[in-house]
Amino acid sequence: MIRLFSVIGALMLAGLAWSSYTGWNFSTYQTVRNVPQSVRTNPGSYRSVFTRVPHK
Amino acid sequence: MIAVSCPSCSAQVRFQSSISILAVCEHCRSTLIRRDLNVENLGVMAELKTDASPIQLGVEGRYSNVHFTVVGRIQLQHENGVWNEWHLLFDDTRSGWLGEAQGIYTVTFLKEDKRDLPFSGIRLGQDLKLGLSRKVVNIEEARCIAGEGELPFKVDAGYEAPVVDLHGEGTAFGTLDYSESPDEPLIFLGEYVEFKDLQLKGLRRLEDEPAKSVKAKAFQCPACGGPIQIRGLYQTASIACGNCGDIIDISNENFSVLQSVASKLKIAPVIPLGTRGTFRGNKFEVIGFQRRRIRVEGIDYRWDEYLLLNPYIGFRWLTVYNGHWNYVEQTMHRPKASGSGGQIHRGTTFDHFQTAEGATTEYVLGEFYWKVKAGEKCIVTDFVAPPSMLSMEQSEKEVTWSVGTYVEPEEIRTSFGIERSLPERTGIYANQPSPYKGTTSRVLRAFGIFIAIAVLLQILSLAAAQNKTVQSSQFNFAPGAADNAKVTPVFDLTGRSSNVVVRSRATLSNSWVFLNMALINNDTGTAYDFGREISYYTGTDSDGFWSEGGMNDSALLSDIPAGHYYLRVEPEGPLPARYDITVVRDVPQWIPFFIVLVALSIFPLLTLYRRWAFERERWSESDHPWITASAEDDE
Repeated sequence: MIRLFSVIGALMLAGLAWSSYTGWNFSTYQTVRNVPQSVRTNPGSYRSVFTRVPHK
Repeated sequence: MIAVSCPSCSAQVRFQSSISILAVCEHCRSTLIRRDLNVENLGVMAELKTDASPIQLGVEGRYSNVHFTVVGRIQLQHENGVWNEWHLLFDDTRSGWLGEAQGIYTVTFLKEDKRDLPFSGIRLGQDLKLGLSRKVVNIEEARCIAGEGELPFKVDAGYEAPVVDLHGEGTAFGTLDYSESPDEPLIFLGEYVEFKDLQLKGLRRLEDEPAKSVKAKAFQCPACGGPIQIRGLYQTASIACGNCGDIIDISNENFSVLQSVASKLKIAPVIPLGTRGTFRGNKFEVIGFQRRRIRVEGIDYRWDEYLLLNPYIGFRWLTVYNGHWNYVEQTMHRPKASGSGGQIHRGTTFDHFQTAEGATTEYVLGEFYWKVKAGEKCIVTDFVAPPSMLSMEQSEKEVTWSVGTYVEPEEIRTSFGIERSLPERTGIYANQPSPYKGTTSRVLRAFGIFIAIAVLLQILSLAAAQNKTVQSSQFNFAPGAADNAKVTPVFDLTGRSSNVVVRSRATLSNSWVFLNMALINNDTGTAYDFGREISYYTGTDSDGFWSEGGMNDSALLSDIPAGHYYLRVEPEGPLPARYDITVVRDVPQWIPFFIVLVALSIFPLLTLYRRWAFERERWSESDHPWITASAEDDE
């Protein structure tokens, strides 16, 4: 039992160290590649893949 | 030392001690009493009862670092057996006594002072202040069988010797000897001693004697005529016939029936009588078996006890209840009461477990060192400190303490060479070691280490985090306007891949705004799209002012590489709004830390629960259940 706990504990600490290092957290975003440079000068030309959540 | 010639047989008789006034001639057993330089022959001393004491005249030993020699013996008989008082002559000229009864040894010295303590007024359990506090643990009407060697007083076979045994704190012991006066006893004070601690030399070699003795003591049951063998080397006082169950008094040669057993109940002990084995370094023979019973709240609980004999260390017990075995030996260390109703014995605190009045011997088989009787009753009080159990048995005349140690059934099986499987264990026994005790402490220790590491990691994370604001912008939103999509100036995200927190604040009143946002890498064209809604509503009702939502929000984007970025924001909403956007790089996080803490706690909590459940079941059989029956019914 103590071995199992040691393994689980070590994995958890490794996860914590990794999340601390990378700043990982529970977050949701979509990654889009190759967004054209023109978006910077013409923001309206970009269509976000994120759709609006309908308000109640 | 004085040597005299025996008036009867002319053999040399020695008085080694100056205080010895009586000696028994080794050759003709004439009892010689010394009067100045002359000796008087008082007649032939009665024969000693043959016993299996490993001690004999001439044995040498040490007590409190003082060498002594055994120079004499008085053998006494009490209701339930025989014991020896060996006269010791110490090198420092003191004279002492080594008491020996069923493998229990005491060393005492006569105290000069006398007290008015009438025998008739002595009660079991009475506390007597004799130097130290000593409690009366045994009251006996003993009788002298015979003596041998040299003795400091005159001894006649058959003289009455009412005696009271006292047990003080720890191993303190005392005897009140009323053989000379019924009111002013001779007071002997000393202590219980371990046989091995006496460093005795010149002992009898008993290993060669058992076979001869058993043969010599084979006889027929006076009740049924069945064959009976005595295995106890004359240390036994009674024997239960394996054929008819009647109990026979073998303390004298008459072999009379002590108790005729009406019950035809026959029990075959799991360990047959006569079985020999080596248990925890000592050789034992199983010589007796009894089944005992207590009734608690109308329910009978039965357990078996096996009497073991090793002539050098005395008697021991193996007890078994529901497949749980205990190795039990009488303790000479009187425990003292702890504050919580328990007892402290040799530094270990035992918790009170159960007091059972009317523990009854239901069935007996084989030999016993007392005159056992079916139907014998006593009060048994158990205290536990797993794997040990401290038990007090109190009868009308005697209080005895014993210590049991939990034994795994497999050890019993291998030690006594039992081929059949032993009964399965059921339930949890009073002093059964918890399998979770060691595990729990190890798990808790590991948990502590893990928590310490987690805290250290979190501290390092907090110390190393940039937590740096890299961009702040303000925008206005008007529904339906063509240029609602905005971008921030380009800003730098530096360091390792880390998180980015985008904090937004919108000035709203009973409205909402949804921000479509994209953090775009100006160099690579990689965009991280996300959206956040901010809503804020207020009003009043019968309960007063209310509000819902808020004007602030934040979004966390994890694992964002370093680079040049800008943020594109495109709001949606029903009403115009003004909103602020702040971008912060490498913000320390607490959520993973708390998740790890909670996750790490699950295992120890589970272990603690299992340990608790084990203990709860253990104590459910006690006088102090953790959950009472009524509470369980409620559940």
